[in-house]
Amino acid sequence: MQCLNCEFENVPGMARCVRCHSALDLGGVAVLPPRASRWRVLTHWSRRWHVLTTTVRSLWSSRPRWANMTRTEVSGVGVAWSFLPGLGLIKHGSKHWGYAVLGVWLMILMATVVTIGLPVSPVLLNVAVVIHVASVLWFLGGEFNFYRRSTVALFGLVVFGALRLLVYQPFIWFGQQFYSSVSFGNLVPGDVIANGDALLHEGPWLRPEQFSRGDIVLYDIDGFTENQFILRDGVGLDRIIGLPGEQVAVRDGQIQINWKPLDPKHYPLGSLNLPPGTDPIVAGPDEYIIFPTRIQSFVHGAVVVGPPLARISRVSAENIRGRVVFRLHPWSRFGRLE
Amino acid sequence: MPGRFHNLELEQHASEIALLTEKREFEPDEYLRNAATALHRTQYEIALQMYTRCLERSRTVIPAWVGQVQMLVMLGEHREARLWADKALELFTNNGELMAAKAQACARLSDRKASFACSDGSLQAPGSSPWRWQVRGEVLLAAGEPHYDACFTKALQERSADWFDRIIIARIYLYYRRATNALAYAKAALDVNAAAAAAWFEMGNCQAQLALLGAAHSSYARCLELQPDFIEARRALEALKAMPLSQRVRRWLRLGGKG
Repeated sequence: MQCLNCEFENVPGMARCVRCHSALDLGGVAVLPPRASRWRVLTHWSRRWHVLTTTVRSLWSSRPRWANMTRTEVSGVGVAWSFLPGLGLIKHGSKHWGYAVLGVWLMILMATVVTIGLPVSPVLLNVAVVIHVASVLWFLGGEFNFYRRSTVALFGLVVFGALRLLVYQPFIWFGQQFYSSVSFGNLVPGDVIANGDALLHEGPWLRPEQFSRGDIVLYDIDGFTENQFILRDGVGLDRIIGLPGEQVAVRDGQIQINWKPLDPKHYPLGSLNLPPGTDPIVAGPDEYIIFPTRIQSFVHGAVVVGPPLARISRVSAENIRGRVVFRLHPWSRFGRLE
Repeated sequence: MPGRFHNLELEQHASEIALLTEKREFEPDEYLRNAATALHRTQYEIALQMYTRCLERSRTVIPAWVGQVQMLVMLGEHREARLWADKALELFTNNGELMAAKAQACARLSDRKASFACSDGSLQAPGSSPWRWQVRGEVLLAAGEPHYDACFTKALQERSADWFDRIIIARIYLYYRRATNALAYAKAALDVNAAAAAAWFEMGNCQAQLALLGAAHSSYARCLELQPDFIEARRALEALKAMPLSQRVRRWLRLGGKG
């Protein structure tokens, strides 16, 4: 009786081959294979798992091989010149595209600067970064043999993050140490500064040690809760009325500094609505008096505003961020703040 | 409401019914040939039925047992394939082809240890065939090990290797989303047999996965020129025409595969 598996001749009557132990009599063996269940839940999940693991594995195997970089034909000089978009392309021979990329990038950067303070400015900045990334990828793409566009996109995101954080952000930070932009949308209506105006204020490196009376400043408000008065943390904008050590009082709608009338050109930006008999406010050695005339307030019922007003009006010198010196937008009112 | 594939499904259903309800009994070789034809056309369910009919005629046809396990794997029923391979190996202990089929099932179940063990066993078993080396290549590919292509090359160096073995390798690569590699083997199959409709169909599948939709369209059309009743090719062509933009973009993003 020959074994079908190993073709060994066995003695008749044997159930299994003596050499390979395969069955010799297959008469009653079932031949219908088991099938997956009707809903095939495990089959579906198995397939999805396989797709996921295969995709991850193939993406991982398609990653750029940094160790091979020196063995490719990537021009190190060209990559280095790509710190300025398009310059790497110009140095590498693609002059037309290089100049085009450089030109577009410069235009978008200029647009970013011109629209500082507006919501579109950060968007334009990111577009400039994207152009920068594209010029680097374009320059490297032919050398790196990117087969998968998804890998290129992933690498582009990495380059975008690196450029934005390590190249552009330091420039932005450096610029903000001199001047920074701010815009308000919830000020009490006024003439000098309106809601939506994009303003330029001094940064930490230009901020003076001492401020002068009449300076329009941006300052931090420390919130507090006292009796029936609630003030939230925030940022304020107004003129400095009193200098450190001075006493400020309001009599018959007139502001007096150490009992002498204040020059009207140094009055707050908004209108004074102080109740009669408000006590004078005395500034500490490191404090300035700034009346919060542009801050929205809501009063419910009868509230004694004198003490909290005094507290709000005394602004610590360290809370003053800097002088607001310029209005960027709207362009019809572009210029220095009077 | 009938969908766009309604007529195609009816056609396939009709041909399946005709084949499966054929009252005349064939010889086991005839069933094996029918199964091979169905396998060429990726009609795995029909192929499985043919292998089962063959075994009903004669349980001693080992290729039919191997074919059943292979078809269960191709149908995605990997657990059932492994179970059936174990059952067949109880009958035909240490059969190299069956061990290779079980190795493939284990690889697709991500059971790396078992797949390597079975593949090692299949190569150590007496005899040799392209199938054992193809599965070896798949096991290495699934495990992320190198030298999988060397195994596929070895498979094609076997004496009994033919054009369809290149298609099997292409299908393995496609399963693991290596469409670029698969395309190379589909082209190699066409170099050996340019009149093989299955090779054109597989070429179309590779090109479709590579987002080369125009080329895929041509390949499917050539397949249908050679075999107008190649239902899977016609279905693929219809799907290509009706592919939404989002799916085209997704295919474009998954373009290519590492060589």
